[in-house]
Amino acid sequence: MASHDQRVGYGLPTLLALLLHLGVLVVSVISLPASVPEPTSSSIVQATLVSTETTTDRAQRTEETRARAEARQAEEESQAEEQATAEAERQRQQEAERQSLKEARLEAEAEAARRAQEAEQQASLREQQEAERRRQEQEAEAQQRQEEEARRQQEAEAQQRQAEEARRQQEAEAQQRQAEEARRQQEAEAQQRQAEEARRQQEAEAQQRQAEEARRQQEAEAQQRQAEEARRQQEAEAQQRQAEEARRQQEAEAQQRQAEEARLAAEEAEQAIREEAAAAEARQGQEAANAFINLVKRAVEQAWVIAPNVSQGATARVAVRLGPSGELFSADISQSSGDSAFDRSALQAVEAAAPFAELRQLPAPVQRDYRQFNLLFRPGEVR
Amino acid sequence: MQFKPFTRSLAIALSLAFLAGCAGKGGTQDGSMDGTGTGTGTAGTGTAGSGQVSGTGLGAGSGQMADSRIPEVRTIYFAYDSDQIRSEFESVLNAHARYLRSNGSARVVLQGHTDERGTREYNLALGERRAKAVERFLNIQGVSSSQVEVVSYGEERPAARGQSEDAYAQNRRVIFAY
Amino acid sequence: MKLLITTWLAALLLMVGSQAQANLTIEITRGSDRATPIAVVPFAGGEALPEDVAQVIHDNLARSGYFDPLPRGAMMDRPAESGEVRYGNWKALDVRYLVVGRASQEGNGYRLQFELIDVSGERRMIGETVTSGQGELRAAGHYISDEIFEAITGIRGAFATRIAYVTAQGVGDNIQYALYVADADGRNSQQVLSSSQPILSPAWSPDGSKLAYVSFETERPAIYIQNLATGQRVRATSFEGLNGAPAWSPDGRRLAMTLSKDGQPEIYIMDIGARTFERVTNSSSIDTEPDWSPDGRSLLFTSDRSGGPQLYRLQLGSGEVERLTFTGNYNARGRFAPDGESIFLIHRGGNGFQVARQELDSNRLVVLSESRQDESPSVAPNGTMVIFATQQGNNGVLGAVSADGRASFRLPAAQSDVREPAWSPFLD
Repeated sequence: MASHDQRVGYGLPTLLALLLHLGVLVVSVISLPASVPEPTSSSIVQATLVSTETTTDRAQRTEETRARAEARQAEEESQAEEQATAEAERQRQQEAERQSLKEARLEAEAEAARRAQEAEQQASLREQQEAERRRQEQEAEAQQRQEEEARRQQEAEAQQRQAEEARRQQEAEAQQRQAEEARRQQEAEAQQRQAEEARRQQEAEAQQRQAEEARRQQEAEAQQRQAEEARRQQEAEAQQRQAEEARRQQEAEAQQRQAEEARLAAEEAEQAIREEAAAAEARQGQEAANAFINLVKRAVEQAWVIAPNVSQGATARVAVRLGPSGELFSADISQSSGDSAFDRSALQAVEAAAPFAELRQLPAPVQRDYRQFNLLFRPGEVR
Repeated sequence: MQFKPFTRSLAIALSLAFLAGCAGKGGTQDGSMDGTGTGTGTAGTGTAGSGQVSGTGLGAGSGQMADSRIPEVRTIYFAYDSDQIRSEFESVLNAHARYLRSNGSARVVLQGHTDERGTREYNLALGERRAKAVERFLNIQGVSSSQVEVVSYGEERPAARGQSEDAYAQNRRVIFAY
Repeated sequence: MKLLITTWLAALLLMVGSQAQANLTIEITRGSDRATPIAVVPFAGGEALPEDVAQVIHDNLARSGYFDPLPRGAMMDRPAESGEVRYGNWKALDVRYLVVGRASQEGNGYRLQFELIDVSGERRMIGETVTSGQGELRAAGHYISDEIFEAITGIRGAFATRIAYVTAQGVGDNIQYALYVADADGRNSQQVLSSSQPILSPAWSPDGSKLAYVSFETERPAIYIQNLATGQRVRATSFEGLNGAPAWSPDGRRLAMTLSKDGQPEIYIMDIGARTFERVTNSSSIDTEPDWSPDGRSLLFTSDRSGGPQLYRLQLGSGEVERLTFTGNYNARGRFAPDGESIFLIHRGGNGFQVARQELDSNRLVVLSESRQDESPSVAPNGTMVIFATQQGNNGVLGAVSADGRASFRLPAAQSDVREPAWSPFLD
């Protein structure tokens, strides 16, 4: 295509071409700085770090890093302070805990001692009562026996008297017969009289013997009775001995029981101490919640204008739901008092007392539990 | 004060007292009764106030002058919550009884009143009770019931206003209205 | 089997879980006795009318003792209808209820429109348009007050009722007596009778059309019955002795009264139509001041058969008489409450003669008034208030106290030395 013969220099185009080729080479060899590879999700903190480094904001970044470093220092310092105060708090609490534990232990010991004492006292009391009762029983028995004795003696005397009576009667009869005989004998001879006399004497003797027999029988009976007496006395003594035995057994049992109770008391004391420690922790969380409850109660009571002419025993229940900042989501009558004016006054009390901003002061996990509750309106003796 | 008229009045009073054997008890009214009260002094302790001598003289019952004229004293007073005739007024009642007995054509209306304490209708009944007590007294003295009428005004017509014991005492009364 | 158990357990847990959440119950055992705060906003357009209806409502509610109306000066703005209400303003003042409205002239009369608003609930409770004729603005205000009162308390309002009372002007034997009838707030008084002799014991018939009263105009006490609309009257009794304390039976056909024609004051029942009299008490003491129970089956009366005046109850069917009051030695002039469960009376205690209330089931007596010279209690037909006569210095005035004793005040009267008030029944 060269119609004119022009002297075209090969220098410039070659140079350009070389440069071009060099440029391509350079570009293909040199690579832009690549982004830092993302850390894997096996780390604890789920965060992606994005670095937006450019040359232009390096100055700004150094400022930032310095500021950040300072802030971090300040934070660390404050954290250190907080930790220190927290430490101090914790120490104080521990102290308090230790104190309370000690006190609890002392109390428990005192309790145990007291309870042991009480058990003793009760056992001795029971003992006394038992002895009393037994003594009373024995007295009753002795009395009964005495009465029986007397009765038997009376019977014996009666019998004796009867025997005497019989003897007297018989003597009288005998005398009668003697008189008759004498009369007859006066008619008859002396032999008959003698024979009669002899017979009479025999009869008399026979009677005497009978009387003696009777008397001997009575004596025998009396002796029998005495023997029975003696036997009964022995039985009584045996019973007494049994009673004593039983009493001794009970004493032994009582002592055993005392020992048992003392042991149980000690066990309970130990358990109480353990429970206290656990409860102390839970209590702290509960106190904050109680403060909130008291606040709600007081605020509602202050705002409650009780409807007039309220009948005694009127109660209404209001179901309350709060939002996250303690604002009133809803207040509904869940149990009506039957008096619409009373119900309305209860609802108004809640509406006027809301919002309960103090909800946010509760520890976060507890807050949710206190966003729903019931209010039971039950006026006491207002007038 | 002039001595002479005083002694004269005193002498009259003494003799009248002797004559009638009047049982002047020397009682005084509660509070101040302006001129309508009957303060009978016992003999000797001359309570010669203004113009009372003639009043007491007649009240003490001389027996001669009362019959033809309506007795001057026409109001008797009562104790609180009571319809009992007080003994110091018996002479007044006797005077009226005498007048009525001797003037068969005379008519009297006994007006019963009470003080303002308490409820109105109950007080009307109390006033009537007082007036009827006076009526009974007159009947016993021989006054015929056709001559006597009873009306009660309760607390409606007080003689004295106010809440003092004085005012109350002035209102608890029965009036002889001829 | 496992599935069954797990589902059952899940259900249980669910129940327990939900229970645990709603389980917290806080007991509210105290509140305040104070009157309910309410605000009655002046009706828009009301300045042009001859009567300030909002003020009538304001005063009525205040006088009932149950409400504490906000003074106008404290109102931050004056809405005329529920749409214009800025609730925050009223909640800041702790106002629980709001009354707003409009008033305008319409033809020969007026048109009033009102709404009752629950402020804490931010909702409209009732609203109504009322028309009234000339000169009836106050009556319209009373009607609206009744509606508001009933909507809030559930009790029928008694603001549209009337009272009767007696006045005495003068001293000694020159007293002029008069019998008046007025609105329950003491306004619009009209003279019914004028006399130079005492007038006592006015009593409204149950339909509110007649008054029975005792007059001494014939120089003896006699019972009259007067028709209020026509002014015509009839002398019902004029026996010898006392004729007093007329009391209408609930059916309006009979009148209980005190007559002493048989020797001492006893209670009689008169059949008004037949003009027959039946004696129902029999004692040698004073029996007076009867009052019918709301069911018409018994009579309350004062008797001093036990030595001093006490209240007794006579069962009309069986004739049985039962003593009711045992506290103190003077209890008289008993009046039944409209529900028949308590009585109001005059009780003399350490503080003089005072209005008191006694519950009939427990016989517990409570003194209501704070003044010392009370007499003639009369109960409002809705049972919420009692008016009575008392003394202010040497002047007789009318006092009022709420039935539970919470609020008490004086009633304004156009006249001086007022006594013997009687509250009318509901007039509809």
